[in-house]
Order: sequence, then structure tokens, then C-alpha cells
Amino acid sequence: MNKNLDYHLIAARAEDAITDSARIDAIMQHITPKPDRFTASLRHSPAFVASVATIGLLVISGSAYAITQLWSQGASTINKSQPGPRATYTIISKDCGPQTIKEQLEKKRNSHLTDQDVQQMIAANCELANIFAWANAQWPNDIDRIDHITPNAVSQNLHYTQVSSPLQLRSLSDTQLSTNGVYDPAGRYNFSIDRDTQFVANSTHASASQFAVGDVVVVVTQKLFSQQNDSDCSIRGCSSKNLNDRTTTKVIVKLAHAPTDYTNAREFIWVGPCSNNDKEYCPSPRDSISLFERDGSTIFVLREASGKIVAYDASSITIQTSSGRQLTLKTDENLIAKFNARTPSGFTVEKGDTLWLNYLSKDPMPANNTIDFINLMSVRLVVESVTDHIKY
Amino acid sequence: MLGRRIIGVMNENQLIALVQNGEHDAYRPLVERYLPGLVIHCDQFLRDRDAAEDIAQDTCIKAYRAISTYDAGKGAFSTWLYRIASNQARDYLRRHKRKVNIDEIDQIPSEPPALSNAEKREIRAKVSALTPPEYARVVESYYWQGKRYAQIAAEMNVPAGTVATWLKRAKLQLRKELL
Repeated sequence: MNKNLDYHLIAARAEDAITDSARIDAIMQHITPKPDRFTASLRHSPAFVASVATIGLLVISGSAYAITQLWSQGASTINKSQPGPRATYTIISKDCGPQTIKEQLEKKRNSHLTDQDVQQMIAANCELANIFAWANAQWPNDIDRIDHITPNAVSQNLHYTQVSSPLQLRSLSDTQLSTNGVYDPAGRYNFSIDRDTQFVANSTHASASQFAVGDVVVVVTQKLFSQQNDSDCSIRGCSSKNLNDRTTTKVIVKLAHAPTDYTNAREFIWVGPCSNNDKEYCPSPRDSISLFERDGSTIFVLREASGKIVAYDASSITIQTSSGRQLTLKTDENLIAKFNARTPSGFTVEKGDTLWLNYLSKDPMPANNTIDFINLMSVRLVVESVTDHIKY
Repeated sequence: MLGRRIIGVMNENQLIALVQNGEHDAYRPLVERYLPGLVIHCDQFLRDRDAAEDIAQDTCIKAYRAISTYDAGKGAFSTWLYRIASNQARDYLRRHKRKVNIDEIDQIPSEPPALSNAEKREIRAKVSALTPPEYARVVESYYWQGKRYAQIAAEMNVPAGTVATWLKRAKLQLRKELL
């Protein structure tokens, strides 16, 4: 009974009750993402030129397009080098949204992708970026118009546009599109079709008859909702209610690339400047497994470092970072041996593997290049496998 | 990036959709909404406020990292979140080899009940009407703002034990009125 009262009280919390902000800040600091290079490329890509430094210059130019093209095809420069066991690609995408994008990819050790595959992957994601930009220009989000401080404000119709990830067409009728996810083939996604739904193929307007089972598509939907403020407004805003909530399918776009051109991204480690440590490079959060995580919150700056293990024992782990410095993590137990003892052999950690550390420090470079164990928040092993459940 | 002003007026499903689309700031109001309840929920398992706060925080972080797997068609976000918290709390008990009364653990609700707006208003009205008014303040601070006894005590300039007593008495009053 006592517990039920607790839970009734929890459930009765007002929407605008103020929660202790220090703890929320700590959580938000933990989850603050680094820019996702893959997403960045989706949002900004375009033209592609590829140069492969160690092999020679290779150019894939953007094509000339007829005036009916809804978006341009872009070009990027791809430089390949192989300083270590992994091929590293540096990609510069120009004329791709508002800014030039530079990103770096390291091919996983057992990836068999060719340079041609890499170019196709970059081009495929460039196309997605252009579709994203085009869709958002065609069907803008207008939630900026929301008035959240006027009690009982007149309700407004507001639009929210979403562009799906790549999907594979399963069936198409006059009223419905059924798809599977390209990234998650078991996922099923259905969209209603009405007389206003547009079809686009080869970046020009098309008809439904040009679509077939197995085609890779993206779907642009727009949610219409009508919101009205309640009368309980405070300086922090009002609670509000949705008077309706309706989603329509605006356009179905047939993509020019094969599903693998989208899924091949998992064969790479995407790297970029470490959070709060822009002198060195760290992997993006995908594809890593946890060796150690500390519970609790902190007000200190959470920083990252990453590098290959050069030594470890019961009192320390030393890694060599992308800048060449050796960074030593002091430990009060042999984290790696402990991890190896409880983990399937496919994941045993050894010298040469790449670790990714999250630690607390006021300074970007800790004193003496040493991280005290008390300041360590997590250690993750960067997974080199292109399939699940093994390290390489 | 959407401004907090915009995010502040979106409903839960819209916020979740935004987070799933990479809009990191949209997660904040979700944490604000659920964190106090998650702490109390975890405390039911652990009987340790420090650990409960850590587990609730960890729940929010893990949920954020896994939010792409959340499917609204399979259940409410709160159900998903509280399930993660329950699993985290049980893991904590296992990891720390804490002896617990299994029957007691099994009786912990899986999540707060889904109340209508009218029911929520009624409960809030009953809380506001508690006498003396300090009882209302400790209930609001503890259950809705996620504050600890010590924090409430400091704000109200009374010993922490007094806060605990007031909360206990407030719950006795409320139990008569609400359950």
C-alpha cells in the first residue's frame, strides 16, 4: 500500500514541476554526443571526387544534370593512406550543404571492401544528404511558430518533417507502401499513400510504376499537429495538448544505390576530434564494447582519449594516441585481465588493440600524461569486426 | 538544433522522435520528467538513496544510448524506461551481493500507474491541502522535484529527521484520502 502511494505520487507529478537541475546537467553531460560524422555526411554531402593517395589519383566526377533534377549529385575528394594495419580514408565533401565536410574513416581490419566500394558508399550517402536537404526545403518544419507562453493560446497547425533512413520496398499498392529497414532488415515500416503522395526516381519526378520490390527507397513524411496551451502557464512555459496528430506521406524516393552501399558504413571506424580534447582523434561511439564504467555523476569536464595499447598490468594501462603521446591510465586492478577472464575468447583484449577512454580532467592533457583511476569514467574496446560477436 | 523553447512545448512522442533523429537536447525534458520517479523506484529496490540516484542516472544514460531501439508501438516510453531501471537495480543488487527479501522485491510495482489528468489534478490538490503546509512542500520536493531529505532540510531550515517525519505524516494523511 505504501509503495502504491509512492507510485501514485510519482504519477501525479505536474509537467512543469522543476527537477533538480544539477543531476540532469550531469546526465546531459554524459550523453552529449560528438558530431556523428556519418550523420554529418548525410546532412551535408554532394559532389564527389575521389583521390587515392597511395594508389594514385582517382576521380569520380559529378555528372551533368538536366534542369528537372530535384537535387544535385555532388562530388567528394577521398584520400587514402595506410600508416598502420588499417587503411585510412580522409574525405572532403564540398558543395554539400552550407559547409565543407571533412571526415576520416579507418577501415576495420577484416573488411574486404575495395576502394570502389568506398566510393560507392560515400556517393550513396551524398545522395541521402541531398534528399534530406531537398525534403526539408520542400516541407519545412514550422514549429518555430509555437507560442508556449500564452495561456489558452489559439491552437495552431504545425508541421514536422521526417526523412526515413534507407528502406527496402516489400510491396506497393495505391494506398500503402510496406518496407523493411536496410539497416535493420527485420524492421517493418509501413506508410499510407494518398493521391498527393509524390514519387521520385533518379532525382526526377516519377510514377509508382517505376518502383519494384527490392528497390531501396527513402520516405518523407510530415506530421501535422495542432497544439494548444493550457491555462497553467508559468515563466517556464505552459503544459499543452495536441488537438490532433496526423502523419502523411509526402514523397517516396527511389535511391540509386544498392543496400550494401548504405550498410558498408559498419565496415569502418569513424573517427574525429576527441570531445574536449581536439588535439587527438577518437572513434565515434558505434562499435565498441565496455570494459569498465563508473557509476555516478560529476561536475568535471568529461574528456576522451583513444589509442593502441602498448602495455598493461595490474596498476596501469598505457596507450599510444593519435598524436603519438603515450597516455597512462593508473588502475587499482588489472582491468584487461579481469575483462578477458570473464569474456568469450573472441573479445580478449591484448596489446595493439584500440581502447577508447572517458575520463575527468580540468585540462585537455592530464598532468604527466597520466589519468588517475578515480578520474576514469569508462574504458571501451573498439571492435574491429564487421560482424557481431567477435573482436576482429 | 531546435531551441529549448521549442522542445519545451512538444509532447512525449515528439520529443522521442526528435531524440531518435539525433536531437540531443530533446532528451532533457524527458529526463526532467522521469528522473525523480526513477530515483524513488530504484530506492524501492536498493533502500539506498545514493545508489538509487546513481542507478536512475545510469538508466537515463543507457536509455539514451538505446533509444533507437525503443518502439512506441510496443509500449509506452515510461514502461520501457522503468523496465531498464528495474533491471539495472536488480543487476546492482546482484553485483553487490546484497541480500534482499525476494517477496518484497516482487511486490514493487513495475512503473507508476497511468493516471488521467483529472486524477493527477486530484492528487496534486490533496497534496496542496495537506496541513500543516510544510507537509505539502516536502511531498512536492521529494516526489516531484527529486530532492533528498538533506536538501529539503537545508531549504526549510530544519533537521533532516524532521523532513523524514513530515513526509511520513504527510503520507499517512494522503493514504487516508487517496487509497
